[in-house]
Amino acid sequence: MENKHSSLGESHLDRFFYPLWLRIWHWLNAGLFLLLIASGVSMHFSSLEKPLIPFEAASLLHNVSGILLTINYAWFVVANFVSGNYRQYIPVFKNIFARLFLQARYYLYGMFRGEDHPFHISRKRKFNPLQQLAYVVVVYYFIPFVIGSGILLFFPELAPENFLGFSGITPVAIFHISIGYMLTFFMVVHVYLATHGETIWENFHGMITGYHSGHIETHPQSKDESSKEGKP
Amino acid sequence: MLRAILLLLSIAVLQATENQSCLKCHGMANLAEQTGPGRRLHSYHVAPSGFEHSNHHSLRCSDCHVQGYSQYPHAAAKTIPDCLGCHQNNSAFLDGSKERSLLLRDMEKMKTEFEQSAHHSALKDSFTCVHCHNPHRFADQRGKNLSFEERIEWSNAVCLNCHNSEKQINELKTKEYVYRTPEEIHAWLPSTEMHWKKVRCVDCHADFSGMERNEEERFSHKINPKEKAVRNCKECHSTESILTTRVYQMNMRKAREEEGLITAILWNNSYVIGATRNRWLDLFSLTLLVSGVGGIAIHAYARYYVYRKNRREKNDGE
Repeated sequence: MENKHSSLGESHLDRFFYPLWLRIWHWLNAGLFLLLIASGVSMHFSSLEKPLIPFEAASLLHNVSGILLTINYAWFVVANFVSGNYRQYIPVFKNIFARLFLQARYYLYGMFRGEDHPFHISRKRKFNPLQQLAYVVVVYYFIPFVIGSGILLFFPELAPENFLGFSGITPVAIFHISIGYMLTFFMVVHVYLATHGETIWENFHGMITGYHSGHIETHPQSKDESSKEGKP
Repeated sequence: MLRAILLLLSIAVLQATENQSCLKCHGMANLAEQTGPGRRLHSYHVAPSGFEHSNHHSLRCSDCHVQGYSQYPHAAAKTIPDCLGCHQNNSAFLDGSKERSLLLRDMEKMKTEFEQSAHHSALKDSFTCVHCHNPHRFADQRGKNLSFEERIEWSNAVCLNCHNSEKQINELKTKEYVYRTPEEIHAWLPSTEMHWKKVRCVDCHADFSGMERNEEERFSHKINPKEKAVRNCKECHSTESILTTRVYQMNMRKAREEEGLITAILWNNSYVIGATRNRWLDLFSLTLLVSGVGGIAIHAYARYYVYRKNRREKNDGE
């Protein structure tokens, strides 16, 4: 793929961030998230008079989407491990608060002053500190939790008969809904932050073609070193 | 005082003696007779242990079985014991308790409801109170300290006692009828077992129209024909759910009384998707979502503003 940065001496591969399996997983996940949110909201706020989606259809849609999400997640876990992409999710704790602050400061202040992104991404480190924290929590905690609690709601006989003195299904349902709300919140913020490339569509385009067209760090080591010192 | 004790004691002894003499035969599990159309086998067995734990345990057999039993052996019953004779307009039955008063008040309504029920329409006078409420073992569980699931199970056992038994249904049927188990009939219902643990049969199969809101623990005796049974999921799984005005309202109220308002709200034990929601969780989460979207809107506007300003400055510079 020819692009405007190829003249800077970067190899073609330097810009190939998102392999096909990752893009398929990502967009399938996105579509299933939307279906699960729509059907979940429709059932949770179900109304006789004005149903968003008819209950039977919403129930079927939610169950089928949930099963597909589970299969898709299993596929992600395997491919993530085999491809070595899991390394992207290993958090770097050193100076984490300083780096999180720098990234948050950029979003809330720096970008309006025309400052450069504090952390340029590279093939070795695709996420900025805020992204990494959010993705680790979402991918390794929230999604497995929502799948696990969804399975218990799908097979309620597997839910504990009694949990702290309450019928087991109630805490499971409340947990499932809470995670559902948080994932919905994540998705809204995720879509918005995805518009923070060099152009609004840059990141969306990258996740379709696999190639990142914005500025990249070709020597991530030096960037890491500077970030450890708390300097952008 | 001594006289009163002796009197009560002698009544109890007489009652026990009379009942024991009846149960000598009727306590036998195999006491039965082939009778009626089709020469079906009718059991005359009364389980002594079941009777001892029933609501009627303090009665003598002859209190209900009034005529034709003075000699032994006696002929088969010619008259069906009259339940309403005691349960309606009988001051002896009134012990001043609120529950008894409500029961007496409800009895007239129940009678009207029953006469409009599918059971009465199909079986007429051959179907009476005792077919559901076996007087020899019926033990009212209202007011007892049962869990929600136990109350549901107790209520549903009344229906399943017949509907789970092909033999029982065949004994009652008046026309050609192919027996199907409740599982077969409800195969369309998702999570069938779960529904049966959490919902009373009558919540879907009875007509609750005209009942007052505080009557939710009592159910309507107007059992609908199967065509009118609730099949629309939304009737339960919605904010205007029929369940929230029936058994679940009772459950939530009971939870509030027993566990306190906050616990009952935070750990609403009556979860039915679409019908019962944890309002605090919804409020918190929706506030978070709306704040997030609001924050994004402000941030996006600020970006747009800076973008326009920079473009203007660039154009001015050129």
